[in-house]
Amino acid sequence: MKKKIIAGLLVLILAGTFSLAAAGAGEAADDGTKTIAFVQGLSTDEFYISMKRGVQEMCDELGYKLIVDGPTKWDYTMQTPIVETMIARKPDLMIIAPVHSDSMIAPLQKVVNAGIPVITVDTNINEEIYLCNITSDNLQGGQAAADYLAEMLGETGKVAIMNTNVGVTTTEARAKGFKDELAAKYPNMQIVSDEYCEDEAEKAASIIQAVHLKHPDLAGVFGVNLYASVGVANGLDSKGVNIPIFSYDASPAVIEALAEGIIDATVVQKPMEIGATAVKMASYYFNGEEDKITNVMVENVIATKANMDDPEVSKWFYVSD
Amino acid sequence: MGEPILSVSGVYKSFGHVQALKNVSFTLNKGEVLGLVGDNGAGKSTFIKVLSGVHKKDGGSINYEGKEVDFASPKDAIAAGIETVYQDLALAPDLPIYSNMFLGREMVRPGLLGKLGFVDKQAMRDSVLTNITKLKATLNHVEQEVGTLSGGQRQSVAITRAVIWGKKVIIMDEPTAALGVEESAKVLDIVNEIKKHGITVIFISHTIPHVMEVSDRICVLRLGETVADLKTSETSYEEVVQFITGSKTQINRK
Amino acid sequence: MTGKTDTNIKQTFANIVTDYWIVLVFLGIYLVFVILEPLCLSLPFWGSTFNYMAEILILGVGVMFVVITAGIDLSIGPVEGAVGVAAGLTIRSLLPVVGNGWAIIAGSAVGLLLGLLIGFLNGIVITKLKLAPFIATLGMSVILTGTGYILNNGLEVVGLPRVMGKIGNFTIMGFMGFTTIIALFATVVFGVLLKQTRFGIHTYAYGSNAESAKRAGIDVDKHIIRVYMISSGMAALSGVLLVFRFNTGSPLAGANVTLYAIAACVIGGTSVMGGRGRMIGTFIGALIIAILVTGLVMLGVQTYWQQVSTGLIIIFAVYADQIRQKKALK
Repeated sequence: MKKKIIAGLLVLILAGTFSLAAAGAGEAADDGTKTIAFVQGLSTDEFYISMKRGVQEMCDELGYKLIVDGPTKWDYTMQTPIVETMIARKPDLMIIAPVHSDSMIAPLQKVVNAGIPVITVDTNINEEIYLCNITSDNLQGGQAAADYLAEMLGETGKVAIMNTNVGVTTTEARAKGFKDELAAKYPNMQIVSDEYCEDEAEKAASIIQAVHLKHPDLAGVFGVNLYASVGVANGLDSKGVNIPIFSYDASPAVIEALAEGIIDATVVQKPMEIGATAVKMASYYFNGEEDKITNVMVENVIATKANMDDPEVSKWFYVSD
Repeated sequence: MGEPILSVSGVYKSFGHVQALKNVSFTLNKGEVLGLVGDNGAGKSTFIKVLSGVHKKDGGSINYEGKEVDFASPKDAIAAGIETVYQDLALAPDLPIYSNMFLGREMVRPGLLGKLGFVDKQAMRDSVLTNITKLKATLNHVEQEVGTLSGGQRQSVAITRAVIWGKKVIIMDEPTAALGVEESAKVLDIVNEIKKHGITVIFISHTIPHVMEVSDRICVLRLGETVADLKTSETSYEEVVQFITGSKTQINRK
Repeated sequence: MTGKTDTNIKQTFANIVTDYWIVLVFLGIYLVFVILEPLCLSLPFWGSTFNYMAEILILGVGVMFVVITAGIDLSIGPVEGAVGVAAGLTIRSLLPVVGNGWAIIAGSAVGLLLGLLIGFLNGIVITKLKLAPFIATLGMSVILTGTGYILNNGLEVVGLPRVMGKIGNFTIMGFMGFTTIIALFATVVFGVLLKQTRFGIHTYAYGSNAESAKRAGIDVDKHIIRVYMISSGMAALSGVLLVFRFNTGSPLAGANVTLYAIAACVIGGTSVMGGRGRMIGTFIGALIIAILVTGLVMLGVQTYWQQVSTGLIIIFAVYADQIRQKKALK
């Protein structure tokens, strides 16, 4: 508790912009214990917090030391210095969720040049300097949402996408997956609106109200994240409209909205499994079993109010600490 | 002869080695206009700042309304009824004339609304209109924004404001300096009007003809000293200039 | 005689056009939307437009006081986020102890007081430490963004009583939401404060000529502190209302609205040089920003065009205001 307060004060002094180095984390050990560095894409996001748990549990199991850090914003100018600090701490391997597919190539080349192999998780870079990539692919998540929504609607009807910000790769990939899948497989379904709400639920609410006014036969909506889907739900609910609303991820806020029937379904990724798999791959590298190292695509699951109490589904819900 | 309202004798003030004021003395009766003249660096501004409470004098005496005064701050001087109309006029250009005149002491509505700070715009407009008429100021529209007024009109606003606030002594720092002939004439008219209402004026100017036109007395400063305290009716333009330049040095011909 | 009346009418008409041209701009935009999509005439269209306008308007009404004093408050958006998290956490922790009603009241009060406190601190830094408002509130906004994260690790506060959502989404006449009603009410109250009270006059006076306000005996430091408290307090009100509406306290709330709120003031004719601005202008400014979103959605145009068009209107509005002022000085 005291530590937390001191850390809090420090952040205040630094005006909150700079991320804290993981307090008290040990440096690379000399006793032969392998040390893994894990760099998150966004340290405050439940998805990456859950991934960290998966990494931690597998490290504990295999006897590795773990050092973790990540930027508080999805921003390569904030992730790069963290990567550089990590090089100085001399880990034996780095697991990273790069926040930009091009801009993070150079910093990660430095890591590789320092003799530290890299495994990318969730996102990736456009140059194969990494051992392998473990992901659950946002594109595929968007496709899954499209398939499930099509099934709910009998493969027909008008749907809308509520996106967040222009140029954010993860959410754009979700929307693209959704759009491509509908276009390819469901000729009777039509996307009538594809708007950006700037991560503001109140803006999403007003936008979807306008969309519904124009298209009263709107049959379903895919919101690419919490704010988009909750905003859409709020906007439609206040007009007394009840149509399927799809969300993405399984943070506690999304799960609460799902439990209360505000949203109808959500694409659940498996960050814990992604993390654990990455550490598994690291162990193959440490043990010289390099033939076992491979890219892995972790399947998403879809949670609905009906299946959310099933432990096979709920075990994938994200944790917040 | 009126009663003296302000009597200054032997005032001196120095800043480090520089003795800005050595010996400033004059007496001013209620309702009189004093022209304060002198070359640049003669000490006019410094004296005005002492009188309005910006600077503290080092010595000498200032007797105001029969009492010795030594103002610690401009607020004290203003509270005592001495108002300085500076060259920059201290007006808010975006506010209408009447708001400017009541700035900081707006009239409020009676009752609860007043307690909540609701202003009585009509009462302020009426009061301003009355005073403008009284002073024959050429301001036609009390709603007009001050920023859209001419230089002379702005002077009128600043002067009328001092009158409304019940000031007894109004110090005017170069009120006609930036004005054309016609505009200057309007300002001089107002000075003549406020004199009729028993208000005392100290009129600082480089433009000697303007001083000759409105003043009852002229006090000439030279190198921080009063070198002449003259009755305007008994002197001439040439004589005043001679005192200013130092070619004449007779003191206190009363 | 008739000739004179004619010029008077012309003059009056010209004054109305220059004073209220922004209303004409709004009507022009709306007319285009209506022609291209008659559904824009419907009540539900106004409902969704008003609902989006409400947040911008509440923030705009507050920050307008600051802008009139020739200042700026960049911290209003982050205040919304931090207040939302603080209010949410307070409600959630008091819930088991005092029950729904009191927890909600206490949480809302904590949120509003936090907003006033932040405004007070902004005012102190600006008046006593003499920092430029831009720097002071920029610093505050970064601090608050960090604080929003510290308070709850950057996560949304969930698990709030559902009754909040019921209140927050209460609607009258089928289209006017709770937040909209409060926004309109606040606009009227603060419009009166600005136009009819000493406080309002002193606000204009300070922005017009700070030195003259000081010389007129106005306690300018105290006044500036109060002005920043209004700005921050309104942001806090908006933050609390968002918690009601979405049943969630989100640190991300308000990440983008600071500039929209300031833009609403500027579009409505408030001068960033201080001294000028009308409440009706800010209302129209917020309405224009909102209708550019809902209207373009109705036309099937993606909303980032709304950002482009809002930007263009800001530039246009300020330019027109400059021309108007130059004319007035002649």
